[in-house]
Amino acid sequence: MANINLRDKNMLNGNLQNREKGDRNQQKKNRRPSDFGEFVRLCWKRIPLFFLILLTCVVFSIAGWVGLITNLKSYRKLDFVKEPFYSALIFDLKTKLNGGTEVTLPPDAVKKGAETETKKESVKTPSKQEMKKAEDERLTIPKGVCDKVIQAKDYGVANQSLLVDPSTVFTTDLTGYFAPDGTYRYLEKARSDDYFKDALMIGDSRTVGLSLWSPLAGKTNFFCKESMSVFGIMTKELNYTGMNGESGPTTLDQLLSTHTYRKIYISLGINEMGYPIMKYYNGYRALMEKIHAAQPNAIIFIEGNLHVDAAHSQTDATFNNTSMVLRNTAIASLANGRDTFYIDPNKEVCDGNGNLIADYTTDGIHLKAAFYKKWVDVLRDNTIDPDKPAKAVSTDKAQ
Amino acid sequence: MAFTDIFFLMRFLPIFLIVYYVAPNKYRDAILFIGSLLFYGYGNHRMVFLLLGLTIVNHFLGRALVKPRGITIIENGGGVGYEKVSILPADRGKDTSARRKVLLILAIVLDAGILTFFKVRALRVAGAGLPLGLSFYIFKMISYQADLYTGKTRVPPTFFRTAAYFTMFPQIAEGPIMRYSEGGFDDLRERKYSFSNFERGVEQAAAGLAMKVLLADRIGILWNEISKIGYESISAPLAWMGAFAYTFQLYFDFWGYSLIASGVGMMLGFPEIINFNHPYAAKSIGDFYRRWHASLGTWFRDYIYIPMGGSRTATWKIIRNLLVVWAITGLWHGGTVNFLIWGLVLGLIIILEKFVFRKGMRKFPLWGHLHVWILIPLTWVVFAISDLKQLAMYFARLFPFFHRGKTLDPMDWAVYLKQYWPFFAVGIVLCIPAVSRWLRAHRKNPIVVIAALALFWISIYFTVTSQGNTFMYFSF
Repeated sequence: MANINLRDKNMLNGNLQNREKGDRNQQKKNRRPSDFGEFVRLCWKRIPLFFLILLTCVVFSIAGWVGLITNLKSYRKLDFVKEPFYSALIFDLKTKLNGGTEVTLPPDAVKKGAETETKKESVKTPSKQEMKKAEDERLTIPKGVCDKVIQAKDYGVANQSLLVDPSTVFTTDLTGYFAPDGTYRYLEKARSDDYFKDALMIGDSRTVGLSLWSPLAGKTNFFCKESMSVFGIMTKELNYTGMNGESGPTTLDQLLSTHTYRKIYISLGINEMGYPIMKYYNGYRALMEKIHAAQPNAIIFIEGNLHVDAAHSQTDATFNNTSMVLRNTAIASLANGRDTFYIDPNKEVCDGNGNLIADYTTDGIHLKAAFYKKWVDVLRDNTIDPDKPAKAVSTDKAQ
Repeated sequence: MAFTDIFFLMRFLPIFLIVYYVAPNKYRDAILFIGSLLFYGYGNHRMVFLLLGLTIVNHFLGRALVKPRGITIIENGGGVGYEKVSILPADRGKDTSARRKVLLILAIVLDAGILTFFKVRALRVAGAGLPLGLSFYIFKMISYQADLYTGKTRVPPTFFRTAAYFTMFPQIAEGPIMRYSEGGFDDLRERKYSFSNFERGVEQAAAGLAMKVLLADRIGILWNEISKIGYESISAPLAWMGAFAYTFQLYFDFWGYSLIASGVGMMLGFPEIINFNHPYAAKSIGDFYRRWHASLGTWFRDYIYIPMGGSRTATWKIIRNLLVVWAITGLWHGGTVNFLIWGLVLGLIIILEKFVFRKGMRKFPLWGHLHVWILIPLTWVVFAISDLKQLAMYFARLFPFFHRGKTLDPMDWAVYLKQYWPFFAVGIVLCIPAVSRWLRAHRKNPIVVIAALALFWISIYFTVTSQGNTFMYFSF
């Protein structure tokens, strides 16, 4: 028995026919709404929530659509077969709430989110393109990325001619960094944690962990936030936890213009893994230029990003160590051995294959609280005294 | 497709509702079946064939089970919208011929066997999960066959009715395990297409969405944080906070899901299914499990506990029955040892409550409440941590006199309490039955309606911006 009168295309409630005896009187009223006002009144009376939801959906969709054709152009990438028009409004709102920078998720990240649901059902098979990309990356893994101390030249500082002559024989056993002009600095063990008093640790969730659980908590200054990236950090507010009891949200610009640091540690990169490497590298460089300009006397430590565990690395198209090693290699090339150094904590927390040791992590990405001290050990063992000037290399040319 | 996917909420559901209501009543079961297959197939392309195959096989086994043999079928003017419905005679259940027994056993062995196969496979084969909702639809199939056998179902099912019942998308992923007779499949007058039913469905679905997105997912972050820290490093207060955080997460995740399922069902004309009836107001753990995931609890009662003799038998048999039921309940939730421990511990506590503590608990009602408020969160910890070593470590941190592990920061709990207290507060308020009663009584109050609308849009905001956070019960 057909029981449907499609009275109003927009109003699903118009499609519902009431069968309950008790509701018949109201139903008669509903059948012939004398005017639009009467119709709205009845809707509000009988199906208020559904009515309001429909109404707001329509209004927001129109607003989203108008926004799209006028000023929200960056959101045209949204897939409107799968998403409503007001998604554009919501992303716009989120951007405003987050402090004004554009946040368009990289396609990889969006895809990953959508696939979490089915992940348990079947192991995701990477597409041909992804496999080819991974294959290309695998071929170019540089050696020695897990080394505690890596010489800047291993990362091919842009201009090879500035490096010391390869035939140079050093009279002392140096494990220092060589500046492009041939001067060097030793990486030394810190005498005590006082070394970190005038240091600033900038980073993402992993640095948040460092600030909460490591032996350095309370002994140095932290500027970090979950899901922070080299892009977001330029404008967004992060949480600052200072030695002098200062704490609260602030921006990088504010912080660097009101405080002076002698050592600045940067650990950013896991949240950028959905982006192309060059975009990450350029973002990183822009960040370093900004820090250099604001704090010319500080030494910058580029921290190699911690690898992920084997389970992630082997299955995740985005969060894998092949990609991470490439990224670390890219940022390491920004070190100059004079006032910018690259240190890599991975050797302390990774196994022989360069995977984060499974016992050290629960989620495969973050260290467990008890193991942050291993990261700190690397920082303690590889310090530079900013007051000691760089030395010219004392060399005897091979004869 | 999950209920919190924006694609489901804003694309699939509206389109489905329009098609469902435009079509004449007699086609609606078929439409529900086809829509459900699309829902299920979205992202599980292969497993849809398993569902389809099981549906067909169970339908024909069911047909054979009700096939008249020497018993007249009474033709009757049935439900509204159907001209003629044949009703099976009331004494149908008394026909316990060998043929029917064999058919019933065949159906149960087949269904239970497939469930067991996939559960074992999930344990053995790395990366192999369970097909979505398998545990739930298999239980529907078993109850369907049993109800046909005992004569509880009196209308001989048609293919689309059966198929719609097994596959209906509001319930396919995580239940509730609705009975065939509850869904208005048996007595078609029970399906009500009314404005008030539809509006109540919308209200329930909106409430469920907000619970899941705004409460369960948020408070769940704390539990996640604690596992990231590593159990060996947390302080005892943080361990307890974690146990309660997981307790709230599981409750509002699953209650929220059940409300959406029931709400969407009501929007389609099905009756309300109360899967959670304020379990944390229960007076004992036995009482708790009559209120928690009720559709599963009553399933175990009706199809395992009572057939084994139930409570009307010798004491030792009752104890045996309870332990068997709870062991199976544990294994149904997961194949790892922690689930077996979880089930048996609950069975044991329920036995103690029934035979030992009974008098004392009547005298001091607080005793039973403490069981619910303290022992239940502890059992959820067993439920949550499948690695036994990790589980032992967590209990060592809950009760620090074991001196295992090492607290890194004795004040760690204060950091998290500062962040999460609002969620705990809302969680506690929502556990009070009077709050729900008040909301139900004032559901047409403009302030309540506007608040619900605001919560709906905040939930949509989080749904659109956060990356798909699926329901916890999916993996079971």
